[in-house]
Amino acid sequence: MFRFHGQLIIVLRVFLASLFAFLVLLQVLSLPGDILHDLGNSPDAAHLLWPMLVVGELELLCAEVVIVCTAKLLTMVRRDSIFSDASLTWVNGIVWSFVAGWLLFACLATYRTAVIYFTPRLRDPGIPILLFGIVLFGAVLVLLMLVLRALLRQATILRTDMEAVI
Amino acid sequence: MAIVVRIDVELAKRKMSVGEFAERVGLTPANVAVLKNGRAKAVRFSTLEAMCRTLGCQPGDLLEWVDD
Repeated sequence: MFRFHGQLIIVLRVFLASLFAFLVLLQVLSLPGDILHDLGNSPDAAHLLWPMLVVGELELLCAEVVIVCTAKLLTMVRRDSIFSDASLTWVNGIVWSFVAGWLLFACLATYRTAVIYFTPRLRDPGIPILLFGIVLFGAVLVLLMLVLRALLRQATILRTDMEAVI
Repeated sequence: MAIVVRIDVELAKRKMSVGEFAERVGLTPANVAVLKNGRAKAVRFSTLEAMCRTLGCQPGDLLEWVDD
């Protein structure tokens, strides 16, 4: 069981590192390249594209922070020190990244919906509904992170109590 | 702590050293020190049993309540 645990952590680390590299690639090449290309083609859509670029970059940054924090927590799992107050620092990093990412996306979604609403030519409920769905989904994720954080705290307290038993 | 662990008294009666006691009970000397100093928060029944067996005494001989 414990060996399996160790191998699982190694596999997960490889995937996390790959995901991190992929996100950096998106952040520095794909996303700016794509959006700047679109800007060149349709300068009149600048008011939609610039916020998308800025928010997209920041969202990717949040995702990278989450990956780094997760990697740190994995190290703590491997050393069997996950049930300590130190792990809360990294968990807080994950929670705050989720919150920041969610707020950014919610702002972008609101802005986009407003633009669609106030531009009769673009008016169509499809995109606002999709954005609203993603915002709801994100809210559930943020709350789930908070529940997991509370569980970790509880487990840390129990572990500390158990370690005091002689 | 209102509960005092009287290991030192029982050890003295039997002229047993702390090191020997720790080894026979299966505790680390550090944990024996924690018990003796009254800094212990909880003791397993299995630990209590091992201590009683080693010292040939009852739990009541080891544990004492002191009003503080």
